[in-house]
Amino acid sequence: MSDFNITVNGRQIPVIKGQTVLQASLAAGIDIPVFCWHPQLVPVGACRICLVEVEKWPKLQVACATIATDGMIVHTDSPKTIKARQGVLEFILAHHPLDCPTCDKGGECDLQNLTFKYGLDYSRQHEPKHRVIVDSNSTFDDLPIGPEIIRNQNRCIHCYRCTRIVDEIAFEDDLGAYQRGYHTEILPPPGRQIRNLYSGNVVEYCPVGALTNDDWRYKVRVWLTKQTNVICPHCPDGCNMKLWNFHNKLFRATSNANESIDNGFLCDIGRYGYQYVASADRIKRPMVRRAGELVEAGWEEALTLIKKQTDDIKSKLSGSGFFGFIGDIRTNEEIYSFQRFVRRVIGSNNIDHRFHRRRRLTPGEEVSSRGIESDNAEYKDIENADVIVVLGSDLHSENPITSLRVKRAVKRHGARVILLNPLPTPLGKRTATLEVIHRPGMAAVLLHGIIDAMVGSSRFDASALKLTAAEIADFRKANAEFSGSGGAAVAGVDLALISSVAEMLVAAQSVVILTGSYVERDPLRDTLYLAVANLQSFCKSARKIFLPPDSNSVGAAYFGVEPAVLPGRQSWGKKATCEDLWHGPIPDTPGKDTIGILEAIDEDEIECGFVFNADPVRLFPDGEYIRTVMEKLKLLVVVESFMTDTARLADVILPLSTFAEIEGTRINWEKRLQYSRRAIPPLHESKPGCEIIELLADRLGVRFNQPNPGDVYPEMAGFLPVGAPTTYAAVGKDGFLIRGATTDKPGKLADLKFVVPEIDAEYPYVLFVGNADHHRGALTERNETLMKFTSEPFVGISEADATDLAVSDGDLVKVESKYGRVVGKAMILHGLPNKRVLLPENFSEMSVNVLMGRQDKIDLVGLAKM
Amino acid sequence: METKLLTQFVGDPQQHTIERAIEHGAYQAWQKVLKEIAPAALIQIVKDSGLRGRGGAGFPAGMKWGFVPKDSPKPEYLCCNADESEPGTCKDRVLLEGDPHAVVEGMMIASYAIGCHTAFFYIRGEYDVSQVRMSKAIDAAYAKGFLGKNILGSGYDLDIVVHRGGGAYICGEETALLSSLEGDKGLARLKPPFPAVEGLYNCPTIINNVETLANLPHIVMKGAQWFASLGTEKSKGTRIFSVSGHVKKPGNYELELGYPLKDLVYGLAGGILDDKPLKAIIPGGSSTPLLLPDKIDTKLDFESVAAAGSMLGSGAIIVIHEETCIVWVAEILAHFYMHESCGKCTPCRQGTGWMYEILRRIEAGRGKMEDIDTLLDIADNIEGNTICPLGDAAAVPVISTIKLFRDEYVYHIEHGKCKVQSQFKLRAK
Repeated sequence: MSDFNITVNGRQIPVIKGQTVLQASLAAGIDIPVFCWHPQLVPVGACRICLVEVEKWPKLQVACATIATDGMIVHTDSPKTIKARQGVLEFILAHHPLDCPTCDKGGECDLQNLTFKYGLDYSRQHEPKHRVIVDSNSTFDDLPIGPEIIRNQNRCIHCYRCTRIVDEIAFEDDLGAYQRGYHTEILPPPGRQIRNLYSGNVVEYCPVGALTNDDWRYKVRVWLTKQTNVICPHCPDGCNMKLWNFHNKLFRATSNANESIDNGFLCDIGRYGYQYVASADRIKRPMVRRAGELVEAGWEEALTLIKKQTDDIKSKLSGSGFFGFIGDIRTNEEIYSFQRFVRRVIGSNNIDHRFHRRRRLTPGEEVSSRGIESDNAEYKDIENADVIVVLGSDLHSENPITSLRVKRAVKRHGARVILLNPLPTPLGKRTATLEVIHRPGMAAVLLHGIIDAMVGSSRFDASALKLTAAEIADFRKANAEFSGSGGAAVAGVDLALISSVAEMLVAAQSVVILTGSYVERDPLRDTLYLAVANLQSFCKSARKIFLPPDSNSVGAAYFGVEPAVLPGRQSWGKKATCEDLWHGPIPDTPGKDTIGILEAIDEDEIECGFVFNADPVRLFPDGEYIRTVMEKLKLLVVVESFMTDTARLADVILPLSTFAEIEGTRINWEKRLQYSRRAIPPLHESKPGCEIIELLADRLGVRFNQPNPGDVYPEMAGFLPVGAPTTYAAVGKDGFLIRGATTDKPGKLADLKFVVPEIDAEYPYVLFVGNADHHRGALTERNETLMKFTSEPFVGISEADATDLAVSDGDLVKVESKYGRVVGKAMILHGLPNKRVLLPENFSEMSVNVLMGRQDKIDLVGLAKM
Repeated sequence: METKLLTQFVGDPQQHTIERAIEHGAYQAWQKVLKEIAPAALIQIVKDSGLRGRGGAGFPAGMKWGFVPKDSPKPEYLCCNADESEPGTCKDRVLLEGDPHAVVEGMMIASYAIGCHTAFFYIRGEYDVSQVRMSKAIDAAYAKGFLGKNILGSGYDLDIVVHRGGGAYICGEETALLSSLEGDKGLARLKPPFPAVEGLYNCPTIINNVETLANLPHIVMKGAQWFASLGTEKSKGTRIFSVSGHVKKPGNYELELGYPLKDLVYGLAGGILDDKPLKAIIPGGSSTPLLLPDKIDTKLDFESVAAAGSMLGSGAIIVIHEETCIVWVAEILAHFYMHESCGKCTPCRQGTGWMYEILRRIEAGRGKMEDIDTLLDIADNIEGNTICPLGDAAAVPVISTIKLFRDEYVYHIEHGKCKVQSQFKLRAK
């Protein structure tokens, strides 16, 4: 599959047109040393270690930047080449300190390896070695340049990989090369630190020990450790990582490069987000409630208690008196066996994994939103899109590696990015071509305003769409009040900006629309999804991706932890298949969803619940209501790793192992199934999820004989589409993309009605919930390194509002709604529009959901200085 | 005798004003070009004239213009390189301060030839008077309608943008210049791609030296044949030579190419300072090899100087008399290259510093015998292995002084002091 050959060291090797001599040689297994070259960075030819001899060219050429041409004859081992290579190594070593005994990079250092392989074993250097002294009283020249990264400039070989990664890949500016010549120093800009979300990558890719991170520093030697390939559990991007352990203690995470997903980069949350596994706050033993207090107990005592109480409740209420909740962070095997347990063993179809919905859909809404799902898409579809629309998402903090792919599309393919959000987000700086901030709650109006402007554009080409002229005209008429300057005013956006967005979409050959948490948690979420589908119909070729909230939300939805859906998202008609497989009946009728369950508990129709690594008490958008309701339960069994708000209300807690202690599969937002290996055995008395479920099932009378994920997988894989791997060994590096029949036909254009939300005079601020810097979800606060970046919650407000309230950074403010209040330190967020508040949801000392209520309106709060 | 072609009017203190310049013929060539000469014909005229670049490389100017892709969808850019920094060179400054309109007019003509509508004037930050005069000259040209939209009704638009450098020799190297012009650090870039195809903002870009451009109005007005009648067969026209060092009358002298070096040093420049014997001459700026006195009869043109074992380079002639320690000369030149290295590629970044430190040690009397071979080997490991010619240039003084004056190095090492009792001693180390 090559275009022509070149000759390297006398051997013919194949070349694909456009490849460099280095790329072709590496592909053919010929080793050429490199320092500054990196597969994801533009070659700069700075280190010169890859110099090779090319016949007929007068000077040696850098293999990393020389495009291979037909008939080229290259020598990587000629005397000239060898001398040049030794020269380069000698130049680097002349001032490189002999720090190996105390340098973290020892054992995995490119300079060590290349010197042993290609360098000289003597030195001619008689001058004193250059030092960039940090403390003149010490011989250690280590300078912390950020919360986590330490720089030793003496060791730096000036390959500039670090500054290039920060600039080219992350589009950040917090690391640069200052001064000139050999005085060049790697530093953040004056007065700043390196603290971007991708900063750990510079440590991983520094060829030497010039940049190290505190996480790994001085703790263990790399040759003592064992590596395990895992999938990151923190978000649905699905990055591949390696966990490094020694004596079953985890020491770090690095990338296990996957060209289809992460291209070899990790965000800091994945990189440092393994630390919670060893947290002292882990629930170590089962706990039972005695005399109102939770106390440690043995497994036997806990299981006996569960059995007794479950039997009691079942005799009164039968299976429908029970429910199950599971968190989206668990593996498919745990999810599958959990829903099997609840349906078959407990006898209830009341299960769910979604906790943000505020009310039930009406039957009409149910019908019209069916089929509005994410389209099949992969990372490469984002990379190759002309225009990328990010709607209702702080993509940077919610999907950091997807954000990198968006940046890659901009850098390599000139893609244009449009942000449509109710508040500014980090992607607005340098990545976005247009950043549109709209009035809260008016995203759907904005989308329809954009559609109208597209139709009105002189470049609009109806023939390229699958809509008839009549459909377009009807749609325009029905949405007239939300178009033009009237609609723009309602949406809170300049009409000119809406037109710019429209022009970009009309001209685009391919569009990708990404949505995130502001859509997912919007009270009018389903309306928004329909509006996105409408927008899709008006683009020549557009794909919509509704980014799910957590690392295995797709798995939870796919394997049926929803009341009316069976594994494989099969309809209720397939009930018999499941009953056959599970050797027994499951309840006839579909069960209740989260809201239905809560209402039933309130009405004393449900008395027992099994909550598996989920924290609805913290997440459900009505904190007071859910606490009251959950406290009514007669038996609440919580399977958890940490004492969450929900666990605090439990009657029995069973300690659950974390992602590093279990094997299993997860499905990312691409619907790609991937296998994650177990890195260390379960800590304390925790057990993997599948084992806990097997124990519970067995105790309650049904033995599945599938205590390990590997036992569950083959049965579970039966629900995957044809062609899916049936064993772990068959799940390759690229995993398996789950593709059902696509709903490619555009739905009928939905007719949507909107109500403009009123602002309450008493509660004039709109509440937004987001992630603090270096945090995502509820687990990040248990990782020491991530807590160095942001260690406590804040109340984010605009400069003008701060002035109005006479509040400065750090002052205590109270945030109050008609449902509850929280207190926190003010933080002025530059660029935040007025009358908006941003609270992070990552800290257990601030429960944001107490401010919310179960209705279809945007959340409104009031602010006051304490 | 000088041939004052480019420097004819630089002595006139008003020549930098547009009124005086016009009296002396400025912008006549520009108007002629706009009215009568098509771009392709203009390129041919310059090719026929034999004009070679005056920055140091001596590449034929017309041929370089010919490298611009004919049907590029991207805009073409012209950049005037006024980052004159080669040690010994101060010829461009004379033109920039003394006859800026000649340079502006040269930029206009070159822009027109290659189809450029936005030209850039990149000047080293230290040349403040030059920059002010050029900026004022450009403003005056706009005021007279020689720049801007639809110049003199010709339909041709041209703007000139002035950019000051931040103080770096490396920014005279064309790719580093482009980096600096784009707003980044002045770091050299890999070639290929070559600027004529992918230069400023990835668009085709021609970079010409100040002096090269100043020749264009004369070539246009008096014709290619006339220009080719000056100089030698392969080195046409005149050159401004900056003579410095141990001469009685240092300064800029404009001479027809092919002028004898001996006549310049001992004639126009007044002979050696204090009438001491000559020791060596650096003929084309510090990046060129030294010539011994036996080469004093060399003619000053590209081929002759090359045949003598050096290069015409930037035309900066540095004269060194007998009572000068050559090791000291090598040391201060090495310091320059170490200080100016951009730091991107390993051999130059580390090698220039290493050579300087060894030379300093030898000069201070603490040299070792193996240092000489180490120096030569370091120079060999730099040469040809760097991104840009700065590394090669740094190697030249080391190799040349050791080749021609090895005995002085040996003396320093064996005796711990200069062989020559020099009255010129070091500035503070």
